[in-house]
Amino acid sequence: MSQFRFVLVVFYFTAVLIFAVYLRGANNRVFYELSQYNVRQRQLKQELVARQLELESLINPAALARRLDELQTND
Amino acid sequence: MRSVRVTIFFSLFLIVLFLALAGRCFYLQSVKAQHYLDESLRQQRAERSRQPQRGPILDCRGRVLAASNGIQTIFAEPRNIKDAKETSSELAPHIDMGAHVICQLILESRNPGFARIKTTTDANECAAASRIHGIGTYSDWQRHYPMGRLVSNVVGFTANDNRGLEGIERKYDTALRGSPARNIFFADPRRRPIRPKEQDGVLTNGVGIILTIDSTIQQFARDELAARIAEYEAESGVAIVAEPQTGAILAMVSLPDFDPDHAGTTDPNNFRSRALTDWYEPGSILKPIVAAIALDAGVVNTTEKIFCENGPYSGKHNGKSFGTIGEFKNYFGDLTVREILMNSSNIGMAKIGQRLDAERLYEGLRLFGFGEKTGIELPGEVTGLLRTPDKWTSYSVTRIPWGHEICVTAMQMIRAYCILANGGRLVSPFLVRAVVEDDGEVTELKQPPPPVGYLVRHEVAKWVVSEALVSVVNEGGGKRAKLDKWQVFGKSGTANIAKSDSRGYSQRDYVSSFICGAPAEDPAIVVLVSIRKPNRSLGKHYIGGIVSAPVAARITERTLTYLGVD
Repeated sequence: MSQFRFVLVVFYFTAVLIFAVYLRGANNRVFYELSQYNVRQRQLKQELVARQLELESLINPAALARRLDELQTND
Repeated sequence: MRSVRVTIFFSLFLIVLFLALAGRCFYLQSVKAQHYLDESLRQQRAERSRQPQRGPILDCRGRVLAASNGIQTIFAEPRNIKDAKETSSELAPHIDMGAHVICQLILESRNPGFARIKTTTDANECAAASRIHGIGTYSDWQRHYPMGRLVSNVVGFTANDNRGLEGIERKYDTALRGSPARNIFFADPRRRPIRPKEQDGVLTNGVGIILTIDSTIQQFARDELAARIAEYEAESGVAIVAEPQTGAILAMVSLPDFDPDHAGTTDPNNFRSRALTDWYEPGSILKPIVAAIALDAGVVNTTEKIFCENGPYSGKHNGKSFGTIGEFKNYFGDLTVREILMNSSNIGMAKIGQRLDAERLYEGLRLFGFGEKTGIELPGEVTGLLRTPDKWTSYSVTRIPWGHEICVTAMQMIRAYCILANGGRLVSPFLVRAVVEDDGEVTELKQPPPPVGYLVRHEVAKWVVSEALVSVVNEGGGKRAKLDKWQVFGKSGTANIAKSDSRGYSQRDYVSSFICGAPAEDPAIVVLVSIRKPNRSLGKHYIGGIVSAPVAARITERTLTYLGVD
């Protein structure tokens, strides 16, 4: 085997190894980002539920009746 | 020679060195293997326990009665904080709290591992706080009851650990709770999850429960009942609105009630749903049921006149005295069944009871569901009291027909009237319309199948409702329940409450009831109002036709208008 071929093989194997390490790191990074997005999604969903509950507590029949009473009293 | 010795010595040294290394390897691989395995896993692994979201409870129009929302708690770990002042100053600007307040919380915490600083839903606050040494965050669920007191006796409430303690929350606790999961990850040196390792259990959120309750109708019923109870300074009250064709409960109010957000500071007596847990002698509202049983059995007909003695009635039944029976106000002569109900004659009903005799009367009442639970989906329901005929005294057959010597729950009464109103078909009251999964898919439709078969003949039930009970409202003691737009049928009842410390009845304490429905030709709703112990010292009336009938009428009117019934 010529020296050039030997260098090429070593270079090739090194590149594959570096790429494998990179892929592994990328996989970890992507998983971490995915987890972050999942958490964010859950947080947004919870914020939505919180807003919905807030709205429900304002427009439910009991609250409306209370508000009407207050308005009538003020009048 | 010297070089040979050096070689041998060096070789021996290497051998000993390798033996020592082998020994060390052996020690690490076998003796200490578990220890280092645990250590490495501890460093590599990160765990996260996930608690399921408790399922929501909705009314029949999808309005939220109870739901859980995620909250974050920011806490300090006092034992890991060297300078509480410095940590507080660092944390304060991130969470919009005074540094001195935070410092006080940290220093005064009895638990060296935990001092609650703040509960929040703001993720940014939590992220900023958790970067400070000695400060941590954890997420949890908080139960909300947007309608507050309105449906508290039906929905119930949960404990701090999300366990259902009353009402639907308790009855459906397991299904509402869901199942938790634990995720285990490989983590990098900064404890960031980089790869999933294993999962313990599958996170399943709790199912949603859709009730038959309509919170608007519930509001009508609560409004009217609360105003009347306040006016009469009564001890408690119950109002139920039901759909006679299906048995669906549209509203169920029990007063006094409680605020589910502050259940911890409430009198536990207010937790119970009185419509199911409290039994009482129904008084005259039982008369139409017994009349229907008698008409169905053929012991009396609609045109026959029964002599009501024109005075007190005493005598013997099966050779034994049944004491003396009087009327509430006036005495009567000959009355038809319709007139007996219209005038609420005790003597007329006693005579009908004698004609039925014990066995038929007992069997008829059992068929209408008295003496057994209705099976509605709430905890704490009682059976009421209907003794078997072998335990009846000589008084029983002449007292039970007008609602004494028998104890019922409000729910049993509403079921019996639903049976009359729907033409005699058996229905069972129910509160849960459907169970739905987290993704909205209906998994269980709880509505019972359409009723088949008749408990009493259709024409008998129809006659009792559209002739006898209509005349109670138009000409009898239920005039205050009359409505312009709809023909109402109904019956009032006023029952003495038995003394708790001695024999006999209290002459001051009553349960004033009125039960009605409309429209009489094809009833869309049946309404029961029972008010316990209106304050007689106010000098006002206490009878059902005056105390409860107007309440029932207003609930009926508002409900029919809301439902768009013509």
